[in-house]
Amino acid sequence: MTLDMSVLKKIRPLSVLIYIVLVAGAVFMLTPFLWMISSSLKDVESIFIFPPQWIPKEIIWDNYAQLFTSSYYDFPRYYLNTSIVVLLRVGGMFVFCSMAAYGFARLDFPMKNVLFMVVLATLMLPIQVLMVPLYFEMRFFKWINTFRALIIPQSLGAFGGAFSIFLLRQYFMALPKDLENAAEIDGCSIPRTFFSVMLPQVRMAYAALAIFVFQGSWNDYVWPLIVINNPKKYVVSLGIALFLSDRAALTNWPLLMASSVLGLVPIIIVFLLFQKYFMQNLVMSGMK
Amino acid sequence: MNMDTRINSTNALRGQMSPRRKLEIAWGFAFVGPVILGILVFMGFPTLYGFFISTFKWSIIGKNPEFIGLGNYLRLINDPQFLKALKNTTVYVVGILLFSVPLSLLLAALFNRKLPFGEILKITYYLPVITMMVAVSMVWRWVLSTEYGILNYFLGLVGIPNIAWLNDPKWAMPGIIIMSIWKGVGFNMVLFIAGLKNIPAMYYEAAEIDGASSLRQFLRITLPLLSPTTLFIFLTTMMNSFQIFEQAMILFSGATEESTGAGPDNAANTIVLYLYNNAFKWGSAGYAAAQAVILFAILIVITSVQMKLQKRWVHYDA
Repeated sequence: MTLDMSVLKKIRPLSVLIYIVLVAGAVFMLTPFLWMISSSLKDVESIFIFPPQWIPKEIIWDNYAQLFTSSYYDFPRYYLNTSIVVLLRVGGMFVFCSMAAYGFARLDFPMKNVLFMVVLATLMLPIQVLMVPLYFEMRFFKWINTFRALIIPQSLGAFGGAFSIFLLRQYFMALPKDLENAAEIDGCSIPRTFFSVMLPQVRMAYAALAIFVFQGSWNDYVWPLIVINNPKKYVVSLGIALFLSDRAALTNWPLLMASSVLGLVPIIIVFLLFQKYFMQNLVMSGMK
Repeated sequence: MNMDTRINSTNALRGQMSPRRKLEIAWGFAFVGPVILGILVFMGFPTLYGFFISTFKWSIIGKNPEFIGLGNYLRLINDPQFLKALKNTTVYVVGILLFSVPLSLLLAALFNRKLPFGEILKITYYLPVITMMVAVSMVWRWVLSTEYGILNYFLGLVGIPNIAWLNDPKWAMPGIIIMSIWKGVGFNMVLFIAGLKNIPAMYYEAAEIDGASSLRQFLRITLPLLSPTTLFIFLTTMMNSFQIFEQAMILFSGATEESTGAGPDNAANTIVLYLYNNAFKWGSAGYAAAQAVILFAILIVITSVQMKLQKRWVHYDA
C-alpha cells in the first residue's frame, strides 16, 4: 500500500461505496438461509406473524423431532441411504476414474485418443436428455429401487464422471516421467507402479475431487427421482420432495423448512471446512 | 503423440513389440476398460435408444410400441404446450444470460481488490451454489409466497405492492429467474475472478500512467482480455439453463395428483419438466423421447458454436 494522498483521496469514497454494495448483496444471499432456519424453529401460528419475526419468541425443536420420529418421514433412513450412496460413489471415483485417468495420461495403447474423445463427449450429454431410455434400461436390468442404479453408473464415469477423469488425467500428465522409469527399473509392474508410486502423488487432486463428488451426490435429485420410488430407498433430496405429495405437510412451513435445513446442513458444513477445495474445483472446471 | 520411453527402440525398428510394450497395451485397455464400458452402457446406448424410442408411440409401461416414424415430432410442432415450454425455457435462458452473467462479472470486478473480510464476503455469495436445489427451492416457495414471503415483505418496505410470484402467470418466470440468480451467481463470479487474476497488472499500470479512468480501463483492458472466460461462461451457462427442471418442479408443484409443477396456466413449464411429465406422469415415453431429442439438438448446436469460437478466441498459454 502506498501512502500517496492523491490516490487515497481518489479511491476512498468509491471503495466505501463498493463495500456497501457488496455487504448489501451478501445480506441478500444469506437472508433465505436465515429465514429458513428461523422458520424451522417456529410453530405453525407464529410463522404467519407479519412483519416477520426473525428470532422466534419460543423455539420449537419439535419440528426436527417429527422428521426423525414420524412414521411418514424417516430422515434417519434417508441420511443413511444418502451416506451409503455418497461413500460408494466417491470410492468408485477413486478406483475406476483414476485408473482410466492414468491410462489416458500415461499408458500408450491403440485408439487411446478416440476413446478419450468419447469420454469427453459425455460431458455435453446431460442426464435430462436420457431420462426415458435410461429408465427403460434400468427396468431391463431390474435396477429400479436399488442402490446399484444410484452407484454403478456414476462410479464408472457416466453422468458427469468424465469430469473427474479429465481432471485426474491433467494431474497425472503433470507428473515427471522419471517416477515411472525408476519404478520400472525396480521391477514394478504397471498396476503396481500405478497404485504405489503414482496414486500417492495426486492426493491433493483426490481431496478436491472427493468433495466435488460428495457435493454432486448429496444434492442429486433428478437421477434418484427416476430410479427410486420405494420410500425405504429414498435419499435426502427425495425425502424433502415427499412434501409435495402431502397437502397438509406442504402448508406446514415450519416442518418443510426443518426438512430443508436437514438437506443443507451436511453440505454446508463440508463446504465451510473445505471451501478452498470447492473454489479450486470450480476454477479447474473453467479450464477444460 | 509423444513416443513412450518404454518402447524398446530396436524392437520398434524391427516392427515387433517387446513384451513390455504388449503388457502396456493390455494394461492400458484394462485401466480404461471399466469406464469405457460404463459410458457405452449408461450413455452411449441410451442416446441411440432414445432416438429409437422417439419414433414410436410407446407408453412408459412398455407394452406394444407402435412405429410412427416422425409422428412424435410432427405432434411436437403442433403442440401448443410444448411450444410454450420451449418459449418459457428460452425466456429463462435469456433472463439468466442478461442478468445473472453480467451481475457475476460485476461482483467479480468488485471483489478483484483487497477488501476487509473479502474472503468471507465471497464465501457468502458462493454458499447457495453448493446447496441442494430441492431444499433451497422449498425455501424459495416460502420466500416467494404472496402474503407471507420475505421477498414481498422487503419490496413492501420500498412501496412495491405484493406480487403473486407463484400464482400469477406473468410473474412465474421472473420468480424462477430471481431464485436462480441467487442460486447461481456465485458460480460464475468465481470463474470471472479467476479470469481477472490472469490479466497482467502491467496493462493497468500503463493505463494508470496514461491517466485512463477506471471505467475506460474496464472497457478497454478488462473486457477484451477477459473475452475467453466470458465466452466460456456465456455458453456453459446457456447449456445449463436450457436444462432447467428442478426449480420449476419444486416451486410450482401442488399437493394433488394432477399437479405438474408447470405453474399457473403452464407459465413455468420448461422443456425438461414437460418431457418428465409426459414420460413419468402421463406415460407417453415415445413422445417424451422426441422432446429429449429436440433438447439434445439445442445443446449440440451450442456446443458446436462453443468449439468454433473457442478455436478463434481462446489461447492456451503453455
